[in-house]
Amino acid sequence: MKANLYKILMFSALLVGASSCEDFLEEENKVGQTDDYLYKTTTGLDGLVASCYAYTRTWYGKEAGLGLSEMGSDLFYSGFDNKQKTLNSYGLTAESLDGNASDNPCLDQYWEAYFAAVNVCNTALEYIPQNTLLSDAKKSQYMGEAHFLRAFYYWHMVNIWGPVPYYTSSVQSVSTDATRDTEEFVYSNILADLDAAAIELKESTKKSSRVHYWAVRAFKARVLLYAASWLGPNSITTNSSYAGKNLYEQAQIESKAVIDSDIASFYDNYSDVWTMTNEDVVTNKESIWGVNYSSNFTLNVLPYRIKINSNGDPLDFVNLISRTGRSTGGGNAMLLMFVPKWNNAGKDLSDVFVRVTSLTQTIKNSVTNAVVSPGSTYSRYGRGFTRYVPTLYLVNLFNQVKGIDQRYDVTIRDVYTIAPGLEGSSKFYPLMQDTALYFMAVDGNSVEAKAQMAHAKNRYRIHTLTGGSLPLYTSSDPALALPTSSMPTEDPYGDKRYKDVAYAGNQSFISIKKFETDVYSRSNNDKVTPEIYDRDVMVLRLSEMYLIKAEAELATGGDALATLNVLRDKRAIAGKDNKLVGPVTLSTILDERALELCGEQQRWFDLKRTKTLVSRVKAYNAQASAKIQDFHMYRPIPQAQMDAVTNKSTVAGQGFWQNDQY
Amino acid sequence: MRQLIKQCFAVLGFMMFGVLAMAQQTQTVKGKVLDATGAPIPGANVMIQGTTTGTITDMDGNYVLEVPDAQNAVLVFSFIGFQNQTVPVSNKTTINSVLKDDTIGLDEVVAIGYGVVKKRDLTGAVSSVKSDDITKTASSNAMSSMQARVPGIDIQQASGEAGSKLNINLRGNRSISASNDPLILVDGVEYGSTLDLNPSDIESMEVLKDASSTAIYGTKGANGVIIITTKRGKAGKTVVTVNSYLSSNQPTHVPQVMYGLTEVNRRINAERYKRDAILVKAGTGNWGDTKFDAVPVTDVLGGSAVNNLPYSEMDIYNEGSYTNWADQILQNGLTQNYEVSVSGGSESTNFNLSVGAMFEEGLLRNDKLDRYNVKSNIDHKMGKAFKVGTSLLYTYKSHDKRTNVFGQALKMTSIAHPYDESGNIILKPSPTYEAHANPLLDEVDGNFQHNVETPRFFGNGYLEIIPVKNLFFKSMIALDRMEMRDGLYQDFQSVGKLQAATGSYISVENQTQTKYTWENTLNYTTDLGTINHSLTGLLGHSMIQDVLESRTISGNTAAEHFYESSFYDLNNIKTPVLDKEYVKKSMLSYFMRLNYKFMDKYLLTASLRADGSSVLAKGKKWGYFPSVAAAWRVNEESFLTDIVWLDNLKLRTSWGISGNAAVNPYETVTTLSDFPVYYNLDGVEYAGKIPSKYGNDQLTWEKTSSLNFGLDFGVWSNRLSGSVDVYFSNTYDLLYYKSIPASQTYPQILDNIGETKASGVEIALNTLILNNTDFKWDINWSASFSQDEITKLSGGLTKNINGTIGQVVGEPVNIYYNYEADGCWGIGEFDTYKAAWLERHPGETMAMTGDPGTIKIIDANDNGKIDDDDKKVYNRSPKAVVGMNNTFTYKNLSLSVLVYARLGGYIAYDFNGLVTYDSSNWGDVDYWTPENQGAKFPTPGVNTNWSTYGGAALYEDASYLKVKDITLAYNLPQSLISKVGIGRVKVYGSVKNYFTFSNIDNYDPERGGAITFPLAKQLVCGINVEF
Repeated sequence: MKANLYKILMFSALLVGASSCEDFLEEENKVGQTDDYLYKTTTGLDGLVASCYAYTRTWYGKEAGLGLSEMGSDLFYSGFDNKQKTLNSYGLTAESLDGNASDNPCLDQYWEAYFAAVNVCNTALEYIPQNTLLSDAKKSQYMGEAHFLRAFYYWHMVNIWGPVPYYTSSVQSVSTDATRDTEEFVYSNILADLDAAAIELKESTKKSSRVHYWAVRAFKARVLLYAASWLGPNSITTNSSYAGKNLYEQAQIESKAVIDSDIASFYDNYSDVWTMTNEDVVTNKESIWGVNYSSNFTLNVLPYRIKINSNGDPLDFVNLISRTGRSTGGGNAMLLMFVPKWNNAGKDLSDVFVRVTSLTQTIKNSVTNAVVSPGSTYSRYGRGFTRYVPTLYLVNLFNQVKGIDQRYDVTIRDVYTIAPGLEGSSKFYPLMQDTALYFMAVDGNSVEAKAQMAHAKNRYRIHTLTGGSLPLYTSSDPALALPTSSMPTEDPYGDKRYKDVAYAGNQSFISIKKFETDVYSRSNNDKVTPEIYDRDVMVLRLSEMYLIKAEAELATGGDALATLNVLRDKRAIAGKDNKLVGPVTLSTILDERALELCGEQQRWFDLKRTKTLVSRVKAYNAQASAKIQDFHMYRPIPQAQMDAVTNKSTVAGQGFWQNDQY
Repeated sequence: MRQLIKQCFAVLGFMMFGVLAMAQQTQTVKGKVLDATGAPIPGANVMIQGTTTGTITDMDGNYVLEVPDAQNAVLVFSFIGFQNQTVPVSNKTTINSVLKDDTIGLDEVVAIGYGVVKKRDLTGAVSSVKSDDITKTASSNAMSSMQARVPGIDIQQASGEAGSKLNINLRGNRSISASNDPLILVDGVEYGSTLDLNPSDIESMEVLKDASSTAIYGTKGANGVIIITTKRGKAGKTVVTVNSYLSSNQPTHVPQVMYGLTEVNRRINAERYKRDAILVKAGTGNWGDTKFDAVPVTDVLGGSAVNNLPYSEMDIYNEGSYTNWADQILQNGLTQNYEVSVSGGSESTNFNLSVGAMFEEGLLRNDKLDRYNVKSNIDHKMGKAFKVGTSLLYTYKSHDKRTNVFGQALKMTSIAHPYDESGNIILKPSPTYEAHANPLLDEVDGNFQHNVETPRFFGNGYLEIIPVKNLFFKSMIALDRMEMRDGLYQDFQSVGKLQAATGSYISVENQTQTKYTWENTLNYTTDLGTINHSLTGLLGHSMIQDVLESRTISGNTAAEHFYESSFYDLNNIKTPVLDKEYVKKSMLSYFMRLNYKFMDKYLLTASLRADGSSVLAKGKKWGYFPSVAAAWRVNEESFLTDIVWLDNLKLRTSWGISGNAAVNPYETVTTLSDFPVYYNLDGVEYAGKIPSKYGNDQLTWEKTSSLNFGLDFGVWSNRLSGSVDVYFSNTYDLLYYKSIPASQTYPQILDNIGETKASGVEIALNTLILNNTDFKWDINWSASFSQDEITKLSGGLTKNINGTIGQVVGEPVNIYYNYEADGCWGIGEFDTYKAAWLERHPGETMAMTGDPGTIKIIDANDNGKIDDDDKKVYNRSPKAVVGMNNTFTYKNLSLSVLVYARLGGYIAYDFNGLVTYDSSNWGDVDYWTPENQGAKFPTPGVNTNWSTYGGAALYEDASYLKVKDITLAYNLPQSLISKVGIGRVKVYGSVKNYFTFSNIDNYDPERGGAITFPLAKQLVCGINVEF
């Protein structure tokens, strides 16, 4: 029995002893890289600094960022297929709509994106000084870029949501409490970051899409103006460099410095600002700094969201932000947003007037039997996404300068032509020569319109501003006007050629054309009418510096009119005088900003910071006027954030509170 | 396995310790214990009746025993799985015993963790399905045979795609983010839930449900354990069996979208609404004024051809030539299954060899799964103390897959044609929505090629040693090597790529997974020297290492047809994207168990397992999982022995802790994003990686402690038998992605955030209603009722919501959290509502709107505003799952009817979301018009509120009752077939999934809300032959 016991013990010992090597339970991480490994390499750090920039592409040139900065303002109605109509109707809620792409302000995704961006900047600011291989100059440059970009992201956040949590270091451990820092505090830190960036980047200039010294100064001018108008001229207290100073004066100094530098200069032809030849923000003369889009679309993809699905996989940004998504690459989508359904010409023009989908597509002239390749003619019109319809106010503003100011012809598309070679071959318009669609900025019942209509029979189709057969707007009063939305009831020619709901003003309209492309996409599939393109986005332009300077001068008693007229002069059609005459008011400046910067992702912020949002919307945007109230000057904090904080409160200024009325 | 465990069997009844037989002449008796096939039984008990003296047979079934009083002594031969045999010694010196199989009733053997036990000695809650029932199910996955047969298990097939996965859930939900899938073992080694075995190779499937049974599996046991044992050979005659069936699969319960005039009317009703809205706004009319006939069809349908199409909408309207796209893409599939096995052996060597081939076709063209199996089980004895053996399975699968084109087919307007007059496919057939690709594009030869090839070797070898009497040592090494090649070619003219217009697309993934298991167990059995005791001890250790590597190359090509080179020619990719994966997991475990039995009435089991894992952070790596269980065989008590109608009565209770190993590798370290993000600076495309996954080094296992009470009974000669189990479980350290304010970059982090509890009742009932010589009718019932609840979330949160799913304390684990809709606002209804509200809330302002015909969301807290507090909890889990299996046997003919019901629970029915407002087709839903104001769905005229609140209309009660299977089988008479040397022939035919009753029209709720691949109904005919 004893022998047996020994055997039992021996086998038991064998079992236990067989495997007691602790190494067996060590974790091996071979492909999921960690920060302290990667960012200590120069390659990793180069990439990290590049990643700081990547988040600029979530906002600029993207549908959702465009909506949040232009809709609900005085400039645009939402068109037929707008995917963010609640931004215009001010039916905005805190709800986090995640992947919903049918009506989504995307505020939750920007909240995530910007805080992720700030974390990347903070990570860079922590790792750059640790690197021992980079030159001091390079380190200095990297530090300057990270400081600038952190300020840049926070500027968006504080303008969208007001008080937001401000972080100066990367997230190492998480907590469920969050603190909203005051707007003054956030602005103070933005200014501090910009001053730090200016020191680090002292020697740099515009030679790549990197941030440089003058970009920092230009952006600082904007930040100062925003702080001055929104928080008050002497509002900064936390940042001792600005405490007690008049921020308008500071803004004027900064903008003047940028103007006086040789970082940017005006083109004689305003159209040169927008031609695809000059799309590169580095080579465009009027550009100071902007967001780069590569012609290799697969490399324009955004980072994944850090938010994950229930399987733990990272989510993609909704396609209003990512546009075509990760599998097909990313790009600038501005070419789609303002385009009406010009090609959806229904029963009259469809035989000669279609969007061409490939380089080889041809249309046959049914009269001469000539085969015409219309791609080069049509490609600039792009796909009719019908997202944005200019308000009657904006159209009127441009009409006032038509013929004297270059900006009308460069900004406004009111004529669509057919491809040369198709003349006379349209079934319903046998007399058609070049023009196919014409948008007349007059009342349809006017004598002029009636005469044009009579002439247009069998030649082309005419839409008029109001009244008549195909009115664009329901009223001539900018406070009441809406884009028309139903099928025309009047049929002037009696042959149903005007009967299509696609001719209503929310689908066929006067459009903004400066974002059009006149070159075939440089993507790998050579599409004639692409969904994205590689146009860089000018974030800081020379003309804005004049507008900032003028506004600062208006507030501090300077000669705003003279400053504005420098810009007006540059934009005048040769030989014409488009100078403004006084007195200059805030309204003058906002009108000028509309002419110069419409669609450039600042309008809503301009109205907000000047506290003219509610009054201007009520005066000029009937889609938005019914519901808008003062509280709308802040956007709601996303519900997902509210649900996650454990120090939620209902009192502003205490704990983590939701913006009023949301 | 059975040779591992020894059980003591002795005479039942009272024994007086003081009374001993007089000393008599002692004689040596020897002999051999065999089973019915002539194979020796090692480890069988040989006892002298009425004493504690006895022995156990050796590896060859031989025994030698000194018998006092050889004249009168009686030997009792016993072994689990066999009936006891008593033989008077009568001075004989050689007594051989042939034990009869005992596979029914209480002496049935069931597999438990690392061993087997007689059902009568079970202390835990274990259910079992035997081979007869398994081969009855014509399915590629033998697991589906458990549906409706095992109480407590909820098996759902969510898709009709060939080879689709089953959702298996045991005793409700415990985990939120972690899997609720049970651990599935084949011959002791973890396999995964898609069983690629021939059903006829399976001997039995055991379901271990309570914690005392599963705790021996430690971190892998919390969701229950299913032990699958494959058939092994027996000595004796070589038996050849052939199993084959054919199944015709037809689509059933296909959701219907609007077709023809229904769709045209929707367009008219949309236009009516818009025109009414203008009139009402202008104050010149009322809702319903623009009558149906006042909106001519020519005002809503296009009269001339657009988008280069060969037809206009009016052409189709006039001809009535609409298209039903779902009909166009669905086909009938055929499944063929062939299995042949040969089994036999000699005294020293047994084998079971089988081959199988299965060809399954889904309901879409080119949705095909081919599977080939080779299996070999061999056991060989070497001398008295050694035995070796292997179980080897090689499976090859080739799966031609389809992606879901149902979505495309459902949203495509019926006012369109798939082909032009010459029969050429139209790329974009919709006159109203140019972006909609023809759903038939993927059926154009070559346009869509997706093949997944998976060879898998799954095998083990073992060595058994009996170094001393009653001590069994076993060492097993298993290797599981799976390879996978997933190749995809999508032509630029395929459904998925046409609209993106980025060229054709190629992706190839190669993956290997290699898993080693080394397991050693030691079993010792003793009776502690007296008849009344029986003690079995198990000590074990296992090491598992699992390495997964994968590489993927993908990217777009030029917009050309690469039909021939398909996904093979990677050079066609313009800018290849590379992806890779390397995941390594290791686990080290020690476990022990004691089974103690006293007087054959009182049973006690205790076990403990320690698991160490590589995926947890240092200091957190080890977890410990104890369990205890007791049972009392009440009917063995003297006060019940007189009750003749009571055959069995046993009470069981158990408690234990088991875990859920849901932490994935590398969760405890912060890692950077998998994919780089690029930005162009200085003309260089810099690739950067950002911190994207927060590593939580505090993570630990989820643990479930559960308490089980069970009752087994059998009465009237077991005409009525069954069991009832009641359980209560608490799961804590629950893993979930805890919401963090997104302002801290990481919106969710994985954490052990909460606790859940679950409870339920399970009833299994076997009623033999008729038992005549010719006619037999029995019904097996199974029923389970379960509920679960979140009891705690971390940080004092009462809610953790992510979109429409999440957790709410006090509510079930698996929920939807969303608004509740009450149809649509009627004409004037909102004004009345608002007036009443203002009266209730004087001085307040109302923030709701309610245009007629738009969705009416219930303002649950009556604050005049639709906000988060108005959301409701929709429980997704069923309240009850009931199965009833009728078997009628008349002579050689048998009919079985399997009825299954799943009651309660909501699904989010995707079909209800097919209300789109963007020129896509709608589901054929009941929508609002002035004449139909009670409709559930809103007017097609305006989409106010729908995109925000439409989710509230998704939820449907998912209860259903299904006649799962009706099978008629006929055993050919022996007289007929024995002449030609055949042992048994059974032919059968089944109809499956033909009758389903639910609240949802044209839908089978078993699919869980998805409207992708519909389920098939099957017509099966098959044959089993045994030579």
